[in-house]
Amino acid sequence: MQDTEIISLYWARDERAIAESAAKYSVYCGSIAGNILDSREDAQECVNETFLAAWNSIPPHRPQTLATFLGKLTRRIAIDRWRKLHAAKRGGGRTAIALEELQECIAGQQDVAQEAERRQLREAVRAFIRALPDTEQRVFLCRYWYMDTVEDIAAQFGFSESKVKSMLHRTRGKLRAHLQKEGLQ
Amino acid sequence: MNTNDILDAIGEADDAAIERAKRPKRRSLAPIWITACAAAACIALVAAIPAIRRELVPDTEEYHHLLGSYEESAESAMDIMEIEIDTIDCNIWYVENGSLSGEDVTVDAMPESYFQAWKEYNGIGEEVRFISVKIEDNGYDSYSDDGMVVTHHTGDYFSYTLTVSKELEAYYDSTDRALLLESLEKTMTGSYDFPIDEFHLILE
Repeated sequence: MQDTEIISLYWARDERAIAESAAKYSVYCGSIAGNILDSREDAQECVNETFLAAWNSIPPHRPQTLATFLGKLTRRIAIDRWRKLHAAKRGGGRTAIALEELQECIAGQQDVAQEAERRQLREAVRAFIRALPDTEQRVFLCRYWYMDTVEDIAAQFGFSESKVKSMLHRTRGKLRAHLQKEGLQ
Repeated sequence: MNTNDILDAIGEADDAAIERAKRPKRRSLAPIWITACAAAACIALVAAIPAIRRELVPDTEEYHHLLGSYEESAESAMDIMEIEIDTIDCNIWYVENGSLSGEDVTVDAMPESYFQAWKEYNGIGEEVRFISVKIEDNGYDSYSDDGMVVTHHTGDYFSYTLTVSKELEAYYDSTDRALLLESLEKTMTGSYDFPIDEFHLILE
């Protein structure tokens, strides 16, 4: 079923929307959740929550791209769950490693984050990603949006792992400079 | 602000970018016509191919396979080989209302095509001509014992030199020069499978 038809089902409050979304995007959402969470059961629960969240948000949303809309929901739900599970722990797992790498992008450990600053940060990061050259952008998103491992990214792009690491290191440095220029740290 | 905030902010990236991240990589090949009528001529061409193709195919098994296929064809006289031009979705940047905008356009995977599309989007006339592109890296070449096969070991620092006709200067006054040149750099360097570290523009 085409995405536009599935979205129409959501708008018509027809429960077939959830079944159709699941049939088409379970695997996609499952891979996103699986990259973030260690447990397959937790990942599956996040996928289920994704379709419920979609049901609760369409309408009023009418996504341009259903795949990325659902993917973003899954990512957010999975990261929130990861944070709850790891609140008392440090280290280990893909998400923890990704967070450690992103530490380079901030100047200091400041945990005071107000809503306005978060909004500003979202816009600044979005603009930064938008302006990246194509391959650099794709590699960066594979690592920090999809939480792919360096090994997976190297295989996808036909690069060596050291090349992927050095690209990511350079991009993180650029992001740090960009955030400093925007006065966000 | 902490790393969790950055992780969340990355989550809000543009949908198109998120989708594009997982798009299969397109192989871009430039057309190369090779005639092989003498072994010495073929060897010279085989040695020259890495210089032409090094920006397209790094030091991989496929590269050496491709090199091998040229060597095989050298045996027959007047062998002509053409590699088909692939197309690519190129992000064409242009100046609009004092800022930069970008649009994905399907073009032949050749710098001339990227330049042509950039001209169209920026209202640059046909009198401005593409002359050449040169990409250099800090890698090195190694030669086989018999000197017949050269392998380029790709470095990690790339410079890109674009040469166009000097008629481009006439457009500097009609728009924001800095933005125009930025749009040109982003268009020409954005479609490669590796980041370009330096961009140079020569007007000839």
